[in-house]
Amino acid sequence: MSFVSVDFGLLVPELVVLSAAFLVLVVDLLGSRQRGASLWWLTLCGLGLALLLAARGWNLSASTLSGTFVLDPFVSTVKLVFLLSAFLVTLTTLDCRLISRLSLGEYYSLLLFATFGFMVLASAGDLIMIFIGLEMASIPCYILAGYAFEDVKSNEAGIKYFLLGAFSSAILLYGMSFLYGLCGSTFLSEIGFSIGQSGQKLLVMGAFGVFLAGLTFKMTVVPFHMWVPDTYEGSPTPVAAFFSVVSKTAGLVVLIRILAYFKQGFLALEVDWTQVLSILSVLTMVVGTVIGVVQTNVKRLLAYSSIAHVGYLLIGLCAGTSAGIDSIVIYLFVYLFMSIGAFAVVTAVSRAEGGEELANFRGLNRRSPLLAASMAVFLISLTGIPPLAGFIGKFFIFAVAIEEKLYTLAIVGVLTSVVSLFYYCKILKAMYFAEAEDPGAAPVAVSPGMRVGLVLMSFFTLALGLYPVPLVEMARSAVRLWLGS
Amino acid sequence: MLEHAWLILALPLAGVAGNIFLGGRLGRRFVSALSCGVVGLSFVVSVACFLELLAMQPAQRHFERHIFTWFLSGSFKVEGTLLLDPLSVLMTLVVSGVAFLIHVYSTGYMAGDSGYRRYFTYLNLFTFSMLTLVLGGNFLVLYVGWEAVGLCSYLLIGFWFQKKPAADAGRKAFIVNRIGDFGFALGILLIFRTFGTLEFGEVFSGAERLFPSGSTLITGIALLLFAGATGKSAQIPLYTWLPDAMEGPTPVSALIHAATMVTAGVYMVARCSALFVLSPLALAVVAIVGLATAVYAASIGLVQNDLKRVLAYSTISQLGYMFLACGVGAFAVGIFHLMTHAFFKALLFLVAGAVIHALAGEQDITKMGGLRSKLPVSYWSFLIAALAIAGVFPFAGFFSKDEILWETLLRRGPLVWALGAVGALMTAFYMFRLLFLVFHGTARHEGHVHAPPFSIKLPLVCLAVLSAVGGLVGAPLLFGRHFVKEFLSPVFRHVNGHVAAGTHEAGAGHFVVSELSMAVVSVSIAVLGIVLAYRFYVISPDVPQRLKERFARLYSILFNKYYVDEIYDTLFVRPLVSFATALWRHVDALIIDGAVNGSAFLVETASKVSRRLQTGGVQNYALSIVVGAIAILAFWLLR
Repeated sequence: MSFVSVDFGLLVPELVVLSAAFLVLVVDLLGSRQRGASLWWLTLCGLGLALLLAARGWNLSASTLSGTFVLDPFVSTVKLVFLLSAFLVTLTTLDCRLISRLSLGEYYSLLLFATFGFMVLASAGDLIMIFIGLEMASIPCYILAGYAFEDVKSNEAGIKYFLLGAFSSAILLYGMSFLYGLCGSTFLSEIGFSIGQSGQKLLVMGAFGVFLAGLTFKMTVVPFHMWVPDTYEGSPTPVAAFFSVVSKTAGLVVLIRILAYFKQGFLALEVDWTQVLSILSVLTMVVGTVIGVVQTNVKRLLAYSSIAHVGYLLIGLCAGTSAGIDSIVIYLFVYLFMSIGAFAVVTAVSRAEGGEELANFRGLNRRSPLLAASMAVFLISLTGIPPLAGFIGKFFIFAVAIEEKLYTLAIVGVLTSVVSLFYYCKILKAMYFAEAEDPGAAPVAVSPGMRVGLVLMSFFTLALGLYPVPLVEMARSAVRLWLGS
Repeated sequence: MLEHAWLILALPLAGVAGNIFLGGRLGRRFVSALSCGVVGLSFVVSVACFLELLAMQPAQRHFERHIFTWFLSGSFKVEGTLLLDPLSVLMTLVVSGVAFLIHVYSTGYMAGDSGYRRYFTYLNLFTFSMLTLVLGGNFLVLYVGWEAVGLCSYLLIGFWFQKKPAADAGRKAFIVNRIGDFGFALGILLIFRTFGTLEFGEVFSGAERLFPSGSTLITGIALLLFAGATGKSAQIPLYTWLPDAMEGPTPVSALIHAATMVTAGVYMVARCSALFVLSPLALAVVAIVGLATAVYAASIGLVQNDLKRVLAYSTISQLGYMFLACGVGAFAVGIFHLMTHAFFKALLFLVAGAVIHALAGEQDITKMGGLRSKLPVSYWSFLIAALAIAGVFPFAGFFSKDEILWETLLRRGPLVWALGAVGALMTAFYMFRLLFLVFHGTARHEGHVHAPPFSIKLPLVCLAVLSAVGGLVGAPLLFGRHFVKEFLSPVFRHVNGHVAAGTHEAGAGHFVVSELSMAVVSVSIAVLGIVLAYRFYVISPDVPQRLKERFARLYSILFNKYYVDEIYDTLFVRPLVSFATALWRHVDALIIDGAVNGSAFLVETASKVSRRLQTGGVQNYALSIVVGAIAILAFWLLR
């Protein structure tokens, strides 16, 4: 019996993140009391290094660990999203009100472990790896959500997330066991091959349906989204920002990859999976937008907005073409900057004001014009108004929808975008047109990391809107290399 | 240097950024140095590009620099391309050179203004926009520059926005320009529909290949483009914004009138000469509008009393001559006149600014006089500029204007020529009327005359030299070569095939004689105008008054600018405003707002109802997951 051969070259970005996580733990244990800054730097360097390495091996297509770990340009691109998000979240972490008095060593290592888990999840080539990756990512996330243990709401967020997460994992596992039972293999490629042969249409659909239900929990698709507002509101804000981009992306990517593997099988069985996804997409867009309208807590509002954005992303998947996946990749990059950016501003304001209600944003323009301006950029971009990046993201998504004649989805998408303008405008109005409760308040103090992060994110939100061509080209070539044109 | 032509654009843009981000912290001296420096360097780069083009074979003087792919959607692709050919490089030289001098002048003129940094930021942005317009390699980049120029003119004309007339003038300039821009945009869209591309080279070669002369489609495109030009270059019927634009700071007027903005239309028509020559109708329209504007604006200029407004009408009139040249197919001559006009018109405005500055804001020429000894530099510069614009040999304006009239005579006959000559006569008259009223005679003003600082004098002298000798580059009678025409000929090589081919070949010797005699005629016309002005305003100053009383009707029509502003107001502005008010009262406030508020109410109600589902209890959340999972299965399995 030969030992499994491992090509560690393909695992380098993951290994870098993993060793950074352990290193942070060790330094945290051994170091002196003034170690906060060095841990922060260590995390940033680890993520930065992993980012560079992942970008360098971007066009590799290979698999290792007997095919359970797959690497291709699409997956690498998604990993860039993860690493970039983790990097930006770390940059803006120090200003967080809930955790600024706590020791952050475990926080950083949990963040790195979660990133590692998500990266593995994205690369997974079989069901077991999917489950392992998911759990490696989820468990640190549960702890991160409840990291501010002195805060009741944070505790509530962690517990709710954990209970429902465990519940959905069970459902996912149930679906997986069905798939295994049907096909006798855990490898995605083999399952995709044998479901076509099996002829068991009902069973395949049932198994995939259960699997989908488990996965959509991660993606925060309605009606599996109930935990999102509570968890985002209670978690430390940078953690919520991390969830809003990374955990959704991970679920979506797994779904995209599974559908790519299963496509032939589904075709053979004449399973129409797009219809159910379309319904979920419409539900997600509508519920995320409509309930957002009456929210008065900005973090909760952004949580609903992030739900609505998943609905837009699903449109790209419903299209079922490689152009649809292009548009998703474009959207992910665009969304990453504006979403984390908006959460970052909330982080800063929340520390100065002691809360993140709409009232806390009143008169922000007078106190900190730059903070207000960057928030305005992120919000307008989230709405999808040109010339900001959000417009480009939505443009490609809706263009694909129209090309594939998914008119209902496109119309609902546009209408919900209009409605979403309403609740983003509430924040803008508070920042620019309302008088502050305390007119003499000092400007909001921000740490250098936060400042750099905000500048970076505003820059990219503007730049990708004005000049999206490189991003579009990258997304297209990644998907083309992966799917073979 | 052609490889680095992007520097021409990047430098002024860097100036804008520098002024915005650093200008406030580093103070005025930094702002002055940066703003002038970047435009000066931009000029240096332009000169280097020009020299490099000169060193090439004439046929190869065409260089396109692809900078980036702007956007890309299916088959629609727009490139950010810079085009360097004789036409664009000549324009670049004029724009950056004159703009540089105006920047230097502004450091003196605006020294006491509280909006110093804002002023120079706009000025740099203006230069950048105009250079983008000129260097763009396709219609979309041209359009971006075109609109940006419109924006900057709005910002600068309304620079002193605390004054209501200035704010109104800025708005008027913007709105009137929008009307022309609408036609221009339609023209570009029609081009894209017809040719499937917006790149100059492809469009022009496609037009030549696919369409016969006189095709309706090309005529439509050309007329739409020309509609844009009438807005930007202040031609009938869209010229009304330009006289009002005098509310801006005087150097801005100089910049708008000489180097940027108004020349954009002429440049665009010359750039699209390949389209215009295919349409005799469009060319005729251009020529007629140009000629009419030239004569019409000159007649208004005869009686105005505001120093800057006279110059404004003179600009409109001179632009008319440029379009006349384009309309008769002599595009190179039109560009030549654009160049010489840039020199002397910038000079005229800068002198006007110096005079206004010296008299602490006085602009009424009836309250000036006798400034010759107090402002000698200004006086001599103004004299040179006036001689140049009147068309007296050997000043710059003579060569270009004489050639326009000559080409007109050659291609459109004596009647058109005669009208042009009348315009020239009036030009000479009103220019010297200004000169005599402002600088000669007795002083009709009180108070101290401020001496202009060095930064104001230096640009005056430079421009005076250019106005005096700048025309010699196009003096075939003296040198036997017309340098400007030769340099531009690769750009306009397709023109000769279409417009009145063969006029030049027939008996060149005979024509030299006539051209010479025509030159004598046009100088005599100019001298006649000057002599008339001298008689009216120096020898017997009571003549104008008597004429005014005798021809009171005519005078008041001219003085009130043919009542065109009032006519536009009754015909267009008021009906539009009352229509808009009715729409607002009845449609907007009732129907649209009602629909908006109604749907907002609906969404809010839905939101309030559905948020009740969000109970906060984990068991309910889990239930929703289960329900969701079952719903998916049920949907799939039961259907």
